[in-house]
Amino acid sequence: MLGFDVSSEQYSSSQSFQEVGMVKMDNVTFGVTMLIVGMGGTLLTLGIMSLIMAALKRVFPYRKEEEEKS
Amino acid sequence: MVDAMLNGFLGLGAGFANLHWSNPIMIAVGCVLLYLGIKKDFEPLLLVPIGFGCIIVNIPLAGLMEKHGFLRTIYDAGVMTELFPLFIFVGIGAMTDFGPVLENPYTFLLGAAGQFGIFLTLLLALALGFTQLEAVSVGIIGACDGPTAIYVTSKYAPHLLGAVSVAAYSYMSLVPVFQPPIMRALTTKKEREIVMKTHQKTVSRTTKLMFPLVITVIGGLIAPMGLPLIATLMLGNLMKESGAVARLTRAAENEIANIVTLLLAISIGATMDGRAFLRKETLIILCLGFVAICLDTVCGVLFGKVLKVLTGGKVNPLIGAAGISAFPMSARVVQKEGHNYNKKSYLLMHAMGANAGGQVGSVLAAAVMLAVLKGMGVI
Repeated sequence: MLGFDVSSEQYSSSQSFQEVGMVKMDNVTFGVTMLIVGMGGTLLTLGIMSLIMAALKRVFPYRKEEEEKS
Repeated sequence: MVDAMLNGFLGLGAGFANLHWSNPIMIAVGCVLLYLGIKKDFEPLLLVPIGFGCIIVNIPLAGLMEKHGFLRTIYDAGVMTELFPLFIFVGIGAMTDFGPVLENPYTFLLGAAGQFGIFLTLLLALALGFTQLEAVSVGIIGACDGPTAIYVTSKYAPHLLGAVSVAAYSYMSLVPVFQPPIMRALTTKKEREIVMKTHQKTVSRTTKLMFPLVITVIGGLIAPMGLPLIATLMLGNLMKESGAVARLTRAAENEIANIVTLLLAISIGATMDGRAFLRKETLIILCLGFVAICLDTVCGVLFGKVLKVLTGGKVNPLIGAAGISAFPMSARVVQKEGHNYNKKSYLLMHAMGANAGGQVGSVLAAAVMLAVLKGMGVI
């Protein structure tokens, strides 16, 4: 009896969850989609964040006197 | 009477009699992790409890990972529920100063480029025969962030948790070893000598307070599946920047982070039972983890070169290597490399910006990945 069962109910249920009711996709489609959409999504999200933060810096500029007060 | 005594003595030797061939090997592996943590100072806060957990779980008949075993209880309570990595993220957020990245918001993009390794490694893992969710869990090692890797792997491939965690934490501590050769190979001497101007402090307190809120709301709307990761990191940062909850911030940075780190690490060690760990997949995962972090560095430096061209030579491409989540180790590596080639070059603050961007980038990359998986109907 393994101390940690690799075919535990948790894994079995997640494996069957993957197979049942969810879209089955070939690995090439999956991998390329993850690469393009995943990486593109990450770049886009962080690009949006950088624009928002740049805009916030303009809206709330650094003022030495106010920072020293706070 | 004699039979009873004999059976009693046999009971004393039951541990030895039930040893599997993999158990002594894993006990040795645990000792190696202890050596790396204690003697070599490689992420000791993690490798010491992981190593010890690995040793004790490979002693047969102790029942530590059986139902109601003490390690099983901790594992189910904190790892399977994903609570432990999320609590650690609160502490990380409370310890991180995002000021350098806010001073130069373009460094967010370096943080994004530093996550390419996740997706490229995912492709490699698929090519090597891993299932789709296993490949996601292997690729996430490239986030170079332990809690993120544990969060994703415990959800989608818990049987790989031991290998993924050991890979993620071990390679993070090896960043100063394998990043410099990659940085030198991809840059010219002239590029490494570029001096970047240092800036005065230009970020208002209001901006620093708005930052965690913006990241949480916008990031959460784009990738709701990753909101637990984003929100806990940003909660810690908001507590720190507000200054209004100093007790909570101190607790998050110290007591909570330390207790959860101990429990998490020993739970990870507990997954390293020899019969589950010593498989060829484990070796492949350890290799792919290394490849993932190398690819992160390669893509980060290449993106740094693109920024150098776009800015007319003002950006030193070395800072691209700091766009990973190994904070602040990677920033120090970049500073050291730049300083080696030009004593007038002080890249630390710029590299810290890229490094902090990498921290946010790794969390957002995981969140985006989960959102895309959900959108594709895989989860």
